[in-house]
Amino acid sequence: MTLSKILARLIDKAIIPAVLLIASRLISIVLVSKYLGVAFKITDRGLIVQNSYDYIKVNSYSVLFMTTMLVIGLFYVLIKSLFFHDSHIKPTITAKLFSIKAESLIQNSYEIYTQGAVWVSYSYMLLLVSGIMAMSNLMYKWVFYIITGVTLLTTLLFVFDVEEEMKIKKDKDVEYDTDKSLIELPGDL
Amino acid sequence: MKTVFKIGFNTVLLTMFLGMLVLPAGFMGLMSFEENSNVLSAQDSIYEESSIKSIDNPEVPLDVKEMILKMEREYYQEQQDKFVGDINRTDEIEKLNEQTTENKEETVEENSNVSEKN
Repeated sequence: MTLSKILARLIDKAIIPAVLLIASRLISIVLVSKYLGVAFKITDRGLIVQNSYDYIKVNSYSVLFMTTMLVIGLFYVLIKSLFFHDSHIKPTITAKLFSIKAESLIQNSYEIYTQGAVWVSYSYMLLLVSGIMAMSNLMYKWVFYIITGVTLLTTLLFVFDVEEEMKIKKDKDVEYDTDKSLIELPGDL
Repeated sequence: MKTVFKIGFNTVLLTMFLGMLVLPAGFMGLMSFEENSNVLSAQDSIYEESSIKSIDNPEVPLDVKEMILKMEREYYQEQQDKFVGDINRTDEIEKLNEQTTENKEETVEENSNVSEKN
């Protein structure tokens, strides 16, 4: 597997999360503004609200909405990684997935980890931006704490899955024992 | 030559990937607020301390208080707004001295003590 192929794969897997996050940002700004009765105008500088208090309120709930979308994506990949990973999927689950014609959920490490890497990268990106916003008093701090919790939890779960994958790989490698001391070669008799 | 082309191609792909990652962050800066807004919110003071001092603030000197009251009276007399009750007040009312200010402060303290007891 060459580097260019991996990068092309990562770009391919990054399109859907990027579109989802951008769409959720735009939709959430409009919805939250309507719901909270905050007036905004569209100018060449973007969406402008009248004062900083309204900005903080709309921005915080909008980022929270983005985080919800991120959590949905992350947990979709995590469920595939923990339960539908082809290296350690249970036979009963395999049979059930085939019976409901959802066998596409069973994926290999390459598929799952490229998706996981992209979603976790977006999670860290959101954490960074929300951290800067929270420090600059442009967002409620509790939103930043939620994003921190989600990022740490998903990173931890991915690490557990990677560790399990490495363990499985190690166990499989034992089958190919290179010790030839007990092998009788022709002419040893 | 082949290696240079490979490195260049990979750099382009990496830039594209990083661009994809940064794109939603760029959209997060889509919204802003009017910094010189005339619309005030009662909760603005939660986030930043106001540098505007009240006229009742003991740090404001007497002559400044007098000047403010005088300017205010002149403004309302120009506006001729009906909602201002005492626009026709005279300069004498606005003349402040140390004694009246102290009396005022004492009255405020007494009132607060009474309210605390209640």
